[in-house]
Amino acid sequence: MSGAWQEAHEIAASVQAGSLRAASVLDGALERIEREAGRYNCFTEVLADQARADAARLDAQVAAGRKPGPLAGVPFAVKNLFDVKGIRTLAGSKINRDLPPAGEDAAAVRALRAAGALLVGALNMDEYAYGFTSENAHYGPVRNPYDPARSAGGSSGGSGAAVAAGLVPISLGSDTGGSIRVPAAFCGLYGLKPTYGRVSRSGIVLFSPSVDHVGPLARSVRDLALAYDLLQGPDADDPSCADRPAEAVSALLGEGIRGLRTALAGGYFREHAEPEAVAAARRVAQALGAGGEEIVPDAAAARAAAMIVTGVEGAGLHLRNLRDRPGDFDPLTRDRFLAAALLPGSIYTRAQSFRRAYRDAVREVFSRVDILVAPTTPIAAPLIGQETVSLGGNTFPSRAHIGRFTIPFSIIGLPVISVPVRGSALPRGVQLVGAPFKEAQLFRAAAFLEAQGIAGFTRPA
Amino acid sequence: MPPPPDAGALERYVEEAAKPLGLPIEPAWRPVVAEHLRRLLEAAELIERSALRGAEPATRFEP
Repeated sequence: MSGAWQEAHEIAASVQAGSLRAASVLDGALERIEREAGRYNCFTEVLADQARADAARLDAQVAAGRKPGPLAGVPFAVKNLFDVKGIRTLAGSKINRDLPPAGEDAAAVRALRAAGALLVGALNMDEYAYGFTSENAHYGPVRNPYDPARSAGGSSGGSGAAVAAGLVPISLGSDTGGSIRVPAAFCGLYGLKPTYGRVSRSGIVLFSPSVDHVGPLARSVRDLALAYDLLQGPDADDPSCADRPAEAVSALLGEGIRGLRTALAGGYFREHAEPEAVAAARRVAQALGAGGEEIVPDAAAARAAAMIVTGVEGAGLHLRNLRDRPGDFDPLTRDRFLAAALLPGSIYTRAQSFRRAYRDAVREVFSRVDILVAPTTPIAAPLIGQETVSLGGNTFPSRAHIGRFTIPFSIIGLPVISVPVRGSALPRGVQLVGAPFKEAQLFRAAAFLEAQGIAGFTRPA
Repeated sequence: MPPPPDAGALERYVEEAAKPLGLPIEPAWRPVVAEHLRRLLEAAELIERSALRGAEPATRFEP
């Protein structure tokens, strides 16, 4: 039986070598889920039978001398907005319980299962991915493995908690304004939001189609890279997916940071944050040899534009249910969708126009640097139910404030890795932000930080 | 910059604008929806104050 903290690449190597049976790995994962998942409320469905069948098939394949895939025998779980054949895709909602079970797996789920990974379940989240704390009125809040009184982050909170608690080594999430990076930061993990269009979203419940991304969470850079290399690439079933070949990163992790130009994001990204968050970003920037600071122009307006674009697109997707059964929504979600549904269309169009100008302005920054460094969140994980946060004499709504530093990058689709920075009482993340389709540079920097001991996963006590 | 929207006016807007859209917003929800709408309008104002100007929206349509 494999241990809770074994990394995905170690499990796969052992299964490929025939020294570990996939069924044994799976038994360990299912036992841990049975014993511990309730403490964090991170799973909404456990798929033991299907996973056992997959493991048995894999073990038979190895016994017959056939080489299994690069994730052979690795248990994984997915945010419950990914289609999984045979179960209902809840997307954190009560409403979706009335839908028929999915007819096939989402593209990202297919990619990992085809590589030999064992899907063990679906994970709790904010309703329709509209939140940063995974406080879900229907399924309860996801609890943080480092302190169960605190949020695991959101909206992919279950994806963060399940990996940080040692239940699975890899999970999948989605990110519109920070929903992979926030739970990664709050749960002490690595989280990748790839470039918009790099990874197929086919078979997921969308929140805001022009901003949604899919990506992995993991406890090591190597595992994050392993999953990403399997996920990336074109997909004709997803109109947002870029028609460009995959660019594998796993083989580049040891290349170091020579030639990479790094800068700390200044101004907006230092304001209204806990001093520890700013200090963590500065420490990462120094370790990467940052040459100075760069100002991201109009980041505050970018966050404002994202708020409008995501709210209006989400309201559009759910308009029928907002009319017919508004009482079945989580109030936290419903009230924001309703407000966005009442916004004049001219404001949405104006936000989209700004978005293009902002994208062009930020491109200028990336003509001078390769990597921008910024805190992932302005605060560490808040208490579940916490409404406000006080910073420097100002009081902010805590849930919305969590996305302050993540939103200005996802609204223009830039690739970002959130790395867990060592040395703080509660986990904190720092974003490594790159130019479009330059994920490889981010992986090199993240691997360097991990090797230097600046970044890394620390087991919860 | 225009004055901050009056909460009562926003609640009345929520009530009236919801009707033709067929959105059954219960009276108890109105203050919260109005507060979210106020934040969205503030966001719109922040964009208007930006020096960044783009003529064409970032949406893409391919025939």
